Amino acid sequence: MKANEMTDHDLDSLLAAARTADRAPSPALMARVMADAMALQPKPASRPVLRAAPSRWFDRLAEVFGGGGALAGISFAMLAGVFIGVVRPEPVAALTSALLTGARYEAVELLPGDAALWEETGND
Amino acid sequence: MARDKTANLPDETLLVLYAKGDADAARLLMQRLLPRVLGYAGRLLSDRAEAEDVAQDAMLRLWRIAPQWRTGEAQVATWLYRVTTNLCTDRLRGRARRRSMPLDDAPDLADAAAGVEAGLMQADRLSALQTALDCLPERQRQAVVLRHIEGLTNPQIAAVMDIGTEAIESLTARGKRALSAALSGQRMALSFEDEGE
Repeated sequence: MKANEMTDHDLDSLLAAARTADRAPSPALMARVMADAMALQPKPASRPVLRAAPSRWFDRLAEVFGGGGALAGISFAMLAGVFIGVVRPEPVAALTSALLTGARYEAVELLPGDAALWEETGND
Repeated sequence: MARDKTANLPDETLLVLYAKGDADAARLLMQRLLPRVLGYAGRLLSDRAEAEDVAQDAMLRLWRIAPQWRTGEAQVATWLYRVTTNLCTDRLRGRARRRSMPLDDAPDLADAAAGVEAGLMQADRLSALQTALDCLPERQRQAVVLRHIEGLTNPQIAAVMDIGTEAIESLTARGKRALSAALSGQRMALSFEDEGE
């Protein structure tokens, strides 16, 4: 082999040098590539806009009674009434009996009885 | 996602993250792939400015395809080399049509390494290699650069060049022989005799 001829080893080392050669992109190129990336990047899916949910039966009922607060008050009163009526707590029962037993009634007849009318009709 | 977690992720996962709006994924992909694409385009085109344009264009196509990327079908790097190959081919054909071949710009690629004596020698060698590469037929040059400089495997090169692996073996073998022939007689000029075998 001639002294000035490239050997396989020479060629391999030449190619290896090319492999490790500095080929860092310039800052300007990197900036351009990143600008492209940001411009073309799909935007994250935006949060869905919160729309008013279709009114349910409860909402419609609350509207009838003037809002949720009013409906809650009415509901509480209703439940309290049922409770008192069914359970009849002692203080309430005592108060009821005191009122009823101590009461005096005086019957006043404001309208005449209808017995006479029936008698006249019977004579026809 | 935290950057330290994304640093070790494969290219494909980073591309999916990019498509979902992760800016760090784009940065990591660029840091990994842009030097490779730029180096490859530089070897094919022998022109730094054109290589930069091609590299930017190839990366642009990667960003565009990210939302439609089909996982598991191709490697991101292989796909990018293929796009770069096609872009370089278009440029080289455009040059041939214009009959203006500024191949003597090749030393620009090596200029970055210059500075000290060893750097200058390295620059001379890389310049000689580039000149020899420029003498190869286009397909041989692509195969030699992908195999011996970019370090791709034959199946990867086959995917990039869209030919069979046997054809790749033939192209790289012929390309390397042609490269040796183009560099013949330059051993002393490139100071290889000092290094021995």
